[in-house]
Formats: sequence, structure tokens, C-alpha cells
Amino acid sequence: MKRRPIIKSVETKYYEQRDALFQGLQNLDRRSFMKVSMAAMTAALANGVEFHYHNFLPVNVVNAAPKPSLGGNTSAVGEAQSQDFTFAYISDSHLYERELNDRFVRQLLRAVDDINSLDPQPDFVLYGGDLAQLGAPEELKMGAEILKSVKAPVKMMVGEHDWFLDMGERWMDLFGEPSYSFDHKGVHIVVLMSVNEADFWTERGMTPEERMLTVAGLDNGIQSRFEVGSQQRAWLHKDLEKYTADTPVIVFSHSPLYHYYKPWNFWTEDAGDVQAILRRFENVAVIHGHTHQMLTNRIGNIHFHGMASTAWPWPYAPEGLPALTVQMNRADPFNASDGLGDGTVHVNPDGLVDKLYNLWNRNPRQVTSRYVNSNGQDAIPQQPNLKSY
Amino acid sequence: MFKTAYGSEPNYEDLARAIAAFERTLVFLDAPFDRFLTGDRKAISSQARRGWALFNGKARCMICHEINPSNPLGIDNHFHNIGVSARTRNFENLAGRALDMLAEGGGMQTIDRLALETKFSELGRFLVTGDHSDIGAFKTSQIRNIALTGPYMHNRSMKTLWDVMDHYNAGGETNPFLDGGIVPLELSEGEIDAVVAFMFTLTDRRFADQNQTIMRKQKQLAASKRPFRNTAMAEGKILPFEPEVMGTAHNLGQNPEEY
Amino acid sequence: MRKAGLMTLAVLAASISGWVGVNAEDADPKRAQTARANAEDFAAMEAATAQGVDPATMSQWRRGGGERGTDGVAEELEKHKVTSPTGNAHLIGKGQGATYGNVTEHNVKTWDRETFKAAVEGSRVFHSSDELGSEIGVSCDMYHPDGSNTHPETYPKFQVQLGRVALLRDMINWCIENPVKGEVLKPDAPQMRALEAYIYAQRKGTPLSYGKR
Repeated sequence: MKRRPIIKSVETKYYEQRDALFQGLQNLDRRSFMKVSMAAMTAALANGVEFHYHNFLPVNVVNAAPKPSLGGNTSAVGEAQSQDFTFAYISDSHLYERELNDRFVRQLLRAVDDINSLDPQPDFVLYGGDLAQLGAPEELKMGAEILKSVKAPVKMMVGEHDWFLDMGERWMDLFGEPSYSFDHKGVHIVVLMSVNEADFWTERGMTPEERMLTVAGLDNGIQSRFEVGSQQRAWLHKDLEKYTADTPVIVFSHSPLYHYYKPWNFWTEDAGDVQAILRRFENVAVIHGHTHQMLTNRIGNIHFHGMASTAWPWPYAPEGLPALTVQMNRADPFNASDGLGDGTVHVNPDGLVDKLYNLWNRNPRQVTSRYVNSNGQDAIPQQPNLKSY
Repeated sequence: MFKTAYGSEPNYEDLARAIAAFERTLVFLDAPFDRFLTGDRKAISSQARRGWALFNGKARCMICHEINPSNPLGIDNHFHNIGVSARTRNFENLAGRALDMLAEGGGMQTIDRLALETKFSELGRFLVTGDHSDIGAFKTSQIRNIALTGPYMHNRSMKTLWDVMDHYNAGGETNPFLDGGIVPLELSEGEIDAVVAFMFTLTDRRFADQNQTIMRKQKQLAASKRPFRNTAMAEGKILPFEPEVMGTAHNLGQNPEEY
Repeated sequence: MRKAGLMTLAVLAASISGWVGVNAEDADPKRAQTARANAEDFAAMEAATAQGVDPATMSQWRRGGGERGTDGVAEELEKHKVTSPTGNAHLIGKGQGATYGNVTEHNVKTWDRETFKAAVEGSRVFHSSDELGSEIGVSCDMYHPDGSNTHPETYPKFQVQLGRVALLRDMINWCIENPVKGEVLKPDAPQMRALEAYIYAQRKGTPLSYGKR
């Protein structure tokens, strides 16, 4: 009988990969399991093996061991020692009136269903901005109605699509001040209004609708570049004054708070000034919207993470992409919800964050503090096999 | 008999050849649709031709059920969650527990156990790959001779092709892992009939009689019962995920003047 | 050093022809890829006089309604950058006699201006959900800002979901029908031609790679 060539089926290869990980784990106690698991996980991640997460909560073993807390209590205000926690996010829904276009409504509903299904529930849910597409009252009101069905408490953040029809009148009616801060389990969290634009509409005699349509065009060159603005920077400075440098700080911002690609307002004009205010803190994370893509950056002490959108994915910009970013696979136009989703952020006791992207129909992707801290050497997320054009 | 055919005692190589020879007689790809493809417009009815146009367009079938000169079977060799398994099980819960079991140090035995226990089998391709994105995904079925291979779907839950069309028309069954390509289609009854008529032209001519009998039977059944029909969802009056999130009987965004 | 040399030559050529900016970018291949013209460049194309049609004559003709739709160009370019066409000024005055192969400034001006106009018109359609007949308020730029991710260099290619080997216009029509929910365009429709012009323009300099996924 002739020798048949050995062909490994896909199933066999997968079994072998999984076996390689779990081989030594049969009889270990929990602590050894964690240790071996972490080593194997790292090795596997380095080899590009995808890992599978429980729903979409990150596995704790991937984080570095918690750093000893410096200087005792983490904040001067007498907060409890920081513990780790998780919050979820939904962002950039760009709702139209339902009668006109229900696709984005459907997708926001799907995201809310995802978050409501999380077990355990996150501490809170960040809404990342651009709830409406054209800033219309109907769009905002419908969005507010949908978000009321989120089980966990929702923290709102404003985007440019929400603001420039009526300069935030309706938004503030519904959701209050666009910038504010709060403390949570020892972490100080600031929500910024980072999509202010210098007046480009008055001299052109634009109507509010024209102004909104201009801002709504990502590549529309008439609008001004986003900025936080001197007033709000002063507020930020004052707000942060009473916190010691070892307080973990998280900033929620719609625009990225750094310079990525100016023509698309993937850009905050006064990013340098804002970063300067944040510089004295040991660990700062910026979670931002607007870019509709997996995006990672690090500038000194600040880790920047972009949120996925529920409405549509943006392509990566032709230049300016931060070197740390591991791109997501380009979206399949035949699947209307590809490249989209929601996710969670796990905040470690030291304030460093692990960002999880729950992209629909794709395996969840995690960008950990370990990856960012090592400047992209450790815990590298899987590279795309379908690169952007 | 073996000796007559192969001139030797039974052996593995020739056994395989014999089985292969038999299997080749089971290829049934001579359907009216194939005649139509070579240029004979009259080979299928005008209703079926409309169905073929819808198959390629509004009904979105071609996106997974590929039919082209390099691949005429109506299959894309991929796995998709179209929501069939989500219909009868506490699906998300199952998925969560399966992922738990994996994370806690399972191995091949765990996967085997999961696959063999009936309720977990609804997790589909996930049981082979362990990939989050494969939860509830089943292989696209080829659609040749589809009239003859009912009841339909991996769990035989749909008795007629009209049921299949109703399922897709409503956007499948919502679940957190639903393939984003499955969306409500807004097909009218006439359009559904046309696509079904097209599907009946995929039956090999050698089974034309059976095809007619089955078509009559399915039509009769479909006339009396359409258990998967959800017109409100198909037409966008209710949106996928709307009942789960907002509760039923909620007029989300229906009266914009109130805002 | 070599780059500076090329730039100087180009600027020289440009100043002769009266257009600044159109050719400078072509001198540097890297900038050619990301070159953007703006409203001033288009105006410069208009302003060149040597061997063109007399501007007074042109104005009179336009006032009489001879040419329609140029106003839209400046307006469009204010909002969106459109890559200018590959420069041809280097061909001026080189010929093999006064008849065949003799390229004049008038030729170059006409080519450049009309070509550019088509791409700008494409930009206008690309950015307009109304022009595309969208029932749901969607325009192409929502997924493809500045025409990004349209990859025209990868066509023709077999697209399973379209059931055929797709040309760029087939994919455009699929997009118009599905995510945009507008009315499908006839292949020779002015909007389709304009859209193709714009999409190719924005991808100027990318090597052709038909069939690429």
C-alpha cells in the first residue's frame, strides 16, 4: 500500500494549538495555572494565535502584576485605594431620523443589546459622541430614548455632529454640561468637549443647517480644526489641581487629543497644550471617538485609544497614523456592520487601561497597557490579513 | 464481482475507486437553470427569471450562495450565523458557558463533550475553532436540488422554501453574533414567490416529477402556515434588536413631530 | 540635492506656463501622490494667456451662456481638495515640426482645465446624497473621505456578490444601489463618468493591480 501524505485538517490544527496551551494545565492549582497561562498566552499572542475571551471581558492574566501603589492613598481627596473595574463604551452612532434611514438606529440598538448582555455588568457605559448625524432634535431625542434602555449608568460625551446645528442647545437640554468630571474607585475621570471650532460660518452667512452640513462632511475643508479651547483648558487645569501625580487619570474626548490627520479633523489643534496639562500625572489614558477605527497611540505618559463606531468604519488616513496602531482588517462592504461594534475598557488598579474592541462578526481585539507600555514589543494584537488600501 | 471489475482480490485502492465511481453517478447538475445559463431563456419561467434577478440583487442570496462559472453549486465554503440556532436555545448563555469552560483549562475533551451534548451543538463552528466570531455559525449549504433536500437549515426547522424566505426576509433571528450581512429585505409576497420559483429550477431534470410533487406540497403547506413570517420586521416597522432593547409595543422614532 | 534640482526646473517651467503648483508637485513623485490643487490653481489654469483663446472673447462667450457650470468648480474646491491632473507643460514647444506632435500652451491649458473640471464635478457628485438620489441621506464620502479606500487600481476583478468580473463602475453602481440606496446609473451617465474621473484622480500615481484583494 502506498504511503498517503499526511494532511492536517483545519480542525486538527486548531486542536493542536489549543492542546499546546492547555497541555500542562490539567492538574495545576489556580496560582500555577495563572502563571503558566500568562506565559503561554504571551507566547501565543506573539505568534499571532488569536485568543478567545469570555464574552468580551478581558482575561485578567494578561495584565502585568499590579504595581505597588506609590505613596499610599492615590488621591488627596481621601478616596478609597483604587481597585480595578470595567466600563463599556458605545460611540459614533450618527442617527438619522428613523423614517429616513433606519440602518444606524438598528446598529445602535445592537450595541445596546450587546452591553446589556454583559455579565457581569460594567460599572458604567461611556457614550462617545456623535449620537446624531445632523444634530436634529428628532435624532438626539431618539438616541436619548435608546440610551435610556442601557442598564448600567451612562456617561454622555458630545461630538461635532451633535453640536453644530444649534451650538449644543438641544444637547445640553437633554444631557447637561458637555464637560464635567467625576471620581470612580480612585480614578479621576474627565469628560471634555473637544470639538470646538473657530467661527467659519458667520462671515460666509451660513444658515445653521449649512453650518451643520459643513461640519458633517469629514473631508470638508471649510470647517475649522477641532480644539478644546483656552477656556476649557483652564477649567481642566483647575479641575486637576487637587489630584496628586499618582492619581490615575482617564480623559474622555471625542477628538483624539493629538495630531493624526488634519484634513479629516483626526486632530485637536491645541493637543500640545492639553497634553502639557496632563503631563505631570503618572498614568493617563485618553479614550476618544470620531475616528471609527482601531487606533492606539502613546505620547509620553499618555495612552490614547480610539473607540469603534456603530455606524460606519473610516479608512485609515493616508498619513499620520501612529506607529503603535495595529490596524483592524479593512471592512467588507457586503457586510453592512463590518468594522463596527462596541467594547469595554478594563481599568487596572494602577490606572493603566486595557481596551477591548468587540467588533461584530470578528474576534474581539484587545490592546493592553502592556502592549502600549512596551512600545509595541509585548502582547501585540493580531495583525490584519486584509490591509487597508 | 470485484475480480470482474478490477482483475484482482478486493484491496483498499480499488475499493476507493469503486466507491468513487458510484459517487460520480450521484452528481445531479443538469437542471433547467443550467440550460438557462447556456443561453436558453425559455428553459425557466419568467417568474423564475425574476427570482434569479432578485437572487443576485435585492434578496442578497448571492452574497453567500455563490453561483458562477467557477463555482456553480451555490456555496461559499464559509460559515455564517444567520440566527437559526438562536431561535430555539438560550444562545448567549450557552456561548458564555462554553467560553468559560475553555478559559478554565479545557482541552480536546472539553470540546468533544461540548459537541456531543445536544444543546451545545447549536454553537456550530465555534465548537471546532473556539473562535468568538464563529459562535452559532454553520456552513452555507449548497442549493442545488434544494427542492429535494427539505426540511431546511442545519436543524431541519423549516419545512418549505417559503419558510426559508420568510426567515431571511425578516433579517434572520437577532442574536449578538448575527452575521451583519443578514438584514431585513423588504421583499413583497410576489418577490418571495419569484425567488422560490427560481429555487425550484435548480432541480436536476431527472427528478422533474418529484420536483413538481414537492412544489405542490410545499405550496399547499405554505398557503396554510407561514410560521416564520414577520412582516413587521421585514418592512422595517420593527427593527432588529428593538424588541430586546426597547421592549415590545414601543414606537421608537415613529413620531418625529413629538420631538 | 537632486530633488531640489527637479523642483527648480519645474518651477521654471511652471512660471513660463503661468501655472504655479500644477507641475511642481509632479517634479517630486512623492508629492505627486498626495498633490492637491486648489481653487487658485484652477484660476491659474484659466488665466494663462499665451496662445490661448483671448480672455475677452472667452468672457463674452461665457456671458452668452456658452459654458455652463464652471461656478460650481470654485465652490467645490473650497470644500474639497481634488488632485490635479498629471502635468503636461513639459511637452510645450517640443515637436517634430509645426504640424504633428507640436504641443502648444493652448493644448495643455485645454487638456488640463477640462480634465480637472471632470474630476471636480465627480467630487461634487461624490459628496452629494441628493445628486446620487439617496433615499437615506447617504453620500459616498461618508465611507470614503477624499475618495479614500475606493482602490480603482484593483479593477477589473471578479466580485462574487456581483456575479461577474466587476469594473469600477459596477462597484460604484452596487454601492449606489445598496449602502446609498440611490438610483443605479447607466454606465455612460454623466454622473458615473464624473465619479470615475474623481476616483481615478484621487488615486493618481498608484500602480495598476487588477484583481487585487
